Amino acid sequence: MNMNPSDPNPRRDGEEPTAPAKLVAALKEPPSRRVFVPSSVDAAVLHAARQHFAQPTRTRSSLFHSWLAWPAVATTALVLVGFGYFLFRQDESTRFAREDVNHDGQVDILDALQLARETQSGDRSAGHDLNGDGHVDGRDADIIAARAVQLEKGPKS
Amino acid sequence: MTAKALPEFPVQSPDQTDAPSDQQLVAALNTGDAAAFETLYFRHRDWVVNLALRFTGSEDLALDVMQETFIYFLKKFPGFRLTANLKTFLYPAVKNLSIAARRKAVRVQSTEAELQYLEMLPAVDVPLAQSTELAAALANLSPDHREVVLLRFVDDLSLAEIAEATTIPLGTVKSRLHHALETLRQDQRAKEYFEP
Repeated sequence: MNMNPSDPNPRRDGEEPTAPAKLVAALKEPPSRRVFVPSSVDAAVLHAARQHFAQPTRTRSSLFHSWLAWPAVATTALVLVGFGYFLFRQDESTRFAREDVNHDGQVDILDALQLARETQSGDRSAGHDLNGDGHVDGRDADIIAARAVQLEKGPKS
Repeated sequence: MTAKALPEFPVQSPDQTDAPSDQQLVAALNTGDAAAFETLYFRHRDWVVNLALRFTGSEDLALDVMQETFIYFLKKFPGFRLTANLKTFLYPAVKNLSIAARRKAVRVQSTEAELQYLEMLPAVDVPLAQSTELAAALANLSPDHREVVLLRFVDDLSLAEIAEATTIPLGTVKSRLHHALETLRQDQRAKEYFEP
C-alpha cells in the first residue's frame, strides 16, 4: 500500500472493491440514448476493410528480410563491380602485344623509345622482358627497335 | 491443493460457443481474411459507438469516431498481436479520437478563450442509467473515478483490463474504484442503491 498521504489515489493491493447488485443492475440498464448506425456507415467501414485486405501486403517479417537483403545486394554489387574492373584491367594488359609498349595498336620505333625511357626512369614492367633474361633494360628496347625496323621494311619479295 | 489461476484471456472460449474468439479472428485477419473483420466489426460496433457517444455527447460525432476507430484498427493489419481483451485496445482509441473530434467540432465556433476552457474540460459522459438521480451522482464523481466505475460495471472490463486500457497501475484502478464507490455511497442521490 502506498503510504504517501499526499497521493490522492493511494494504492490498495487488497481485494477488488465490489458494488451492490442493485447499483450494478442500475448501471447496466440500457442507456436512454443509443446511437443508430446507418447501414451506409457499416458499408463504408466494410468497404474500407475489403480494400485494405485486397491490397498486396508486406508483412513485417518480409520488410525485415528486405532490410537484411539490402546490405547483401550492395555487397554483391560491389563484388561484381570489383570483379569487372579486375577483368577490364586484365584485358587492358593483355589485349596489346608485349612489344606495343605505348598501347597504340602497332609496334614501331616509338615503342622502343618509350621502353628505353621507362628503363632509364626505373618505371619498368615485367611484361616487357622480351628476351627473358629476368631484366627489363635497353636490350629489350633493342629487340622492339629491331622488330619495328623489320616491320617497317615489310616482307621481302 | 491450491487452485490454479485461470487465464483472463481469451474471454470467449471456443468451447463455450461456436463463434470464433477475438483472438482467432485477429489471427485470421493477419492472414488477410477480410470476413473476419466483418465479424469483429459487428461484435464490437455498438459498444464502440456508444462509448464514443459517452465521450462526445453527439450522435454524429460518435458515428464519425466509430468509423475512425475501426479504420485505425484496420491499419494495424497485418502484424497486429492481440495480447488482451480487444476492448482494452479499442478503448483508448475511442477516447482519444472522441477528444480530438470534440475539439475539432468546437474549434469552428469558439473564441480562443472558449477553446482553452473547453480543452481543459474532461470528456463528457452522457448519463447512461435511466435514473436521473444516479446519473447526477455519477456526474458528481471526478472524471478519473467515473471512468473506472463505467469501465468496470457498464463495460464489464476486469480491473486488469481497465489498467491496460487506461495505462494506469492496477493498484490505482482499485483505489479509484474504491473511492468512487465510497463517494456514491455517501451521495444521497445514489443512497437507495446501497441499501439492502
